[in-house]
Amino acid sequence: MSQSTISFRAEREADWERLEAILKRVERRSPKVLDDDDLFALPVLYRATLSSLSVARATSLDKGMIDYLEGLSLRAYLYLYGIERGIGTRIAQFFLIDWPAAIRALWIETWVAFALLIAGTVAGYLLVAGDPSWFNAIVPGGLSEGRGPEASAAALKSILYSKDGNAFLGPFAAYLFTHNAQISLMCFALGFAFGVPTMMLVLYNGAMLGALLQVYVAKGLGWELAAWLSIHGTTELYAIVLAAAAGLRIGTKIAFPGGHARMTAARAAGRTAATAMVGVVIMLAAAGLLEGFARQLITTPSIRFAIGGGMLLFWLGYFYLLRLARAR
Amino acid sequence: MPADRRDMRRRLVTPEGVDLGVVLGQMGQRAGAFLIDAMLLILVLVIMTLIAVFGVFGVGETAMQPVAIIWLLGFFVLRNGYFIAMEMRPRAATFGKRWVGLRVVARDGGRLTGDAVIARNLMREIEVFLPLSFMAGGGGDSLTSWFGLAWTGVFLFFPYFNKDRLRVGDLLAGTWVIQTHPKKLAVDLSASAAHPAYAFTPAQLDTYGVYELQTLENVLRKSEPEARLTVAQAIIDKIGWPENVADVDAFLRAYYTQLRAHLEQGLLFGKRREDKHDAVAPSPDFAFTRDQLGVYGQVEYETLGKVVRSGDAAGKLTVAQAIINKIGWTSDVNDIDGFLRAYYAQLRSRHEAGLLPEARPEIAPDIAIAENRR
Repeated sequence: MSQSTISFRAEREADWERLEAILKRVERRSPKVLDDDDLFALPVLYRATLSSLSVARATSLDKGMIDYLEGLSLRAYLYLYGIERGIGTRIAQFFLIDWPAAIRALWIETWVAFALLIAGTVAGYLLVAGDPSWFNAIVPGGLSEGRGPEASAAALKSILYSKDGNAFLGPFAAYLFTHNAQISLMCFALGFAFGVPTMMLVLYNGAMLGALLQVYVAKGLGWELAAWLSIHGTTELYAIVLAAAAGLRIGTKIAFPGGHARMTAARAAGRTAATAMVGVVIMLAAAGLLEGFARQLITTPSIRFAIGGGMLLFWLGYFYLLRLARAR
Repeated sequence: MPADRRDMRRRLVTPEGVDLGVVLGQMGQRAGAFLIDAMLLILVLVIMTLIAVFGVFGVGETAMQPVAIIWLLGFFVLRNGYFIAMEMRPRAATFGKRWVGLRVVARDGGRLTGDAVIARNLMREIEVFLPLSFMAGGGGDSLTSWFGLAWTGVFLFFPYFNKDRLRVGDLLAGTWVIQTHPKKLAVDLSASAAHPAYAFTPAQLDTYGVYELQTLENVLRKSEPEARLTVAQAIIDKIGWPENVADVDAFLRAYYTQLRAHLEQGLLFGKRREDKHDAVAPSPDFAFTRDQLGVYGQVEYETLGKVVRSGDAAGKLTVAQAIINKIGWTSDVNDIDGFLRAYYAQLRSRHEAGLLPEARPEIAPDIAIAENRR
């Protein structure tokens, strides 16, 4: 009887080995390394191996062979059905469809994160206005760089227009980008804890902004600070709001999966949020360039405002209007 | 190990309708893969830093700017991009995962999309880097950092709290990590010529089942001569082989070949004998009706399997008594083992036909069967 399983194996072994050899080549590089013969043979060999596996499971007790066939079938299956191909089309798809669609899908969370940022800003502003000693409690010493309530108007103003750093703009921009991007990735990931740490981070960022704003407004420099902030801040703050929105999405969908199973809801939320986060990192790269170069090189408040406002309009148009333009 | 392997097996049904039965990666493997990746990243970082420092020293101040930019961006890309870029490739595994034999697949068996890979790797922020930062910040407020460490430990040890060994990232991405087994096709042990000195009777071959056959296969493929001697002695004692065995290897191979042929013949007649506890042939004394089999579900079937395989005579008696009462068995039961084996074997054929409900149906059995069929 085992004679039949020996012949079963002998008749098919060559096909299995050919499939194995083809897989070895395509997994290393790309489908382009295959000639036409092998390319057309791949799905046929896959199905033949799968059928061998079914027969072997039903009639044979040669564990070595069944294990081998399981491994080979799985490898072929995953190559044929389990991976995505075409990096070029995937990138185009990301910029044209996936990114704006992911941001649009997060619109409720975006409003919530934006409201939290504003609330934090107002709170920070009011606290410092009531009692200037709050400033040092809110803004860590390293970040304030001498911009406290006790600083003179001239000193505060000089920071807004300083060009000292010009020699080192490139690394400065790179540092700003990597630092901010890492923080925003953390802010997103923390959303998993039901969104609570994310919300606290956004509130705190708003409070720092409000505290700084109050110090400058008190010295009559509010407008100029706003211009200084806006050139990169529209992009950067928007990106932070979106990162928080992505974090809130995963946190809320795990807590309240709605009509779906919890696992399904978590998966859908995770994928949307991940796409949005890639976009956030790109936005922060743009913000880093604006902050590192443009802000140091351009010192006219109105131009700073124009650039900042222009960037904001660009992002809003890209995220929310692109679809309308395509639909028309 | 074999028990663990069975527990970690999950269905993956291809569009052609074949269940490939993937095996989830073990936690030790995954931790090992991550350590390899982490060391690789640190090594690259150290080399990068050394090149940067020597580059600045060698070329002078002018090189400072580009070197600083490249180092900063390189660090960022490496930290966040390495796992993502590697897992998006056809083998869906980092170098560490390849090394220990793991890969990432979508839980639904579909395509592993880019957003899924990104989602599962962005969550490393809270799984790895957050605990690390709390550990590094231990010098500050120790109570806060201990609390932080405990809190982030929940994310780090998340895989231990679910049966599919999902990381937080896996949960959000809809992925899991499975073992790849790029095994070579092993030699067919039964291919060698038959050994005339060792011919076994059907009764001697009825002693064992598939489980013992595959254990024997493992022994023949891998183990030491002493282990073979022990196994051969066990078989000789069990089947009552009368003669002296001069060539242990030939004896084992002959027994393997004939046992396999014997069991494969059974397979062709639709009878798979799982192990030595399994009933050899349907017992005429113990034939159960559909209603008598319908009172139990999957859970009881599995429990019964454990009882049948155990050596606990008192336990078997209790269980047999319970079954007798439950199904209302009227005839005398002299052979407790035979009764349990027969009941188990007949439950198994229902299990294989997919007729067993999850747990004991509380409603009338025939209704449960009808529900289950639907």
